[in-house]
Amino acid sequence: MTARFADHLIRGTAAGIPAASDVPVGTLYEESDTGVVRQSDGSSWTVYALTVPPGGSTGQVLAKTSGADYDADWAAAGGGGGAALSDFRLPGVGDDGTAFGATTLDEMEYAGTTPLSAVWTAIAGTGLRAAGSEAVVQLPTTAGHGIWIDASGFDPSYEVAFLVSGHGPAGSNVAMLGIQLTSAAGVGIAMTPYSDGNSYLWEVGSGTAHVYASTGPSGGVAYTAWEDGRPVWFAIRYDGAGHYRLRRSEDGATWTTLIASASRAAVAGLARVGFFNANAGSSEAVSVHAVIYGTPDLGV
Amino acid sequence: MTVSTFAAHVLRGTLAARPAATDVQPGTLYVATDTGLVAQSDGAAWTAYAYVVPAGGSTGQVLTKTSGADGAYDWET
Repeated sequence: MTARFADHLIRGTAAGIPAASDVPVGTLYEESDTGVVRQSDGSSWTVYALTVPPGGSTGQVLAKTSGADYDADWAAAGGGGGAALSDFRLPGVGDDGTAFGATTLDEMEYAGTTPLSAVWTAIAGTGLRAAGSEAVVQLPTTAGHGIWIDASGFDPSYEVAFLVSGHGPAGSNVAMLGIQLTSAAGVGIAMTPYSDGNSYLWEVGSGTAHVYASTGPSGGVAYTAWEDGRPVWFAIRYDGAGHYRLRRSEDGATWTTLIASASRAAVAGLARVGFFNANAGSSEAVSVHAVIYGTPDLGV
Repeated sequence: MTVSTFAAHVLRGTLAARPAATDVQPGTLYVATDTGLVAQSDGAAWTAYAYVVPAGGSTGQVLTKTSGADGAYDWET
């Protein structure tokens, strides 16, 4: 059979591919809808190469959809299909918890006495980071009040991590920075700092037993003056099987489990992920360096 | 003139298994399945012709640039 060169290079949809026996041996067929290029050996088609697939949208990345060769497609950055950053709404962050207007997380703001000083920048669809000076918020003096992300649309299969440090006054009962994952009524799981002078614990619940979220500059819990504590990471992750897991790390690499298995059922109507004050009457500035979600690669 | 089939001009395999450019017909294309490099022989040397998506990788990995050079990418978590 005589064939022109051009007859060996054909193109069409995956569904429109001719029988391998109907084309000259060696013919290449590019599937216009998948990017797969197949080669005929005269009896069957085998994958020859995968060109960059058509489609996709701004910001998407080419991600593997299975472990099979060439099984890839365009997906949202940061975990292959996680929630878009704009899916997180921050309807209100005020020193009394009162909503004062809908914003998106990348427009995070604070209406307390000390505003967030940093410019928050999206991290490739996975979170936020503070640019320039660190983001400092002044937590309110009323226990249980603070700032938080409206997590009502939060997919708990994704991880949320915070890089924070306390900035507190002299004394041992300072840096009452906490992270909570709760319902609007405050029921849920929390990581909150508390000092009774001796022990510091992590517990499920709110307002009972606590731990320092950020230790003092020398590693202890006490501050000798108004000063920065050591930055610490906190991560909250849902295991997909009815429980949350909370961990912390001071270097971002080695994680310590704080709560290995907190019942999801304890969180009735998940609504908030954020920071709050667990100690009535105290008032501390908190440095918030980054908020990241949808990054299970943290390995927590 | 040496006669060869069309199929002999469109080869594929790992980069390490690529034959010498002098051992194939000028114009031959070779897809390195492990790197995504499509090279063409001019009868003396291979030069980059195009880049395609490499084989391998696991679910959720994304194609990531490993340097600013053309064709420098792989599947990474």
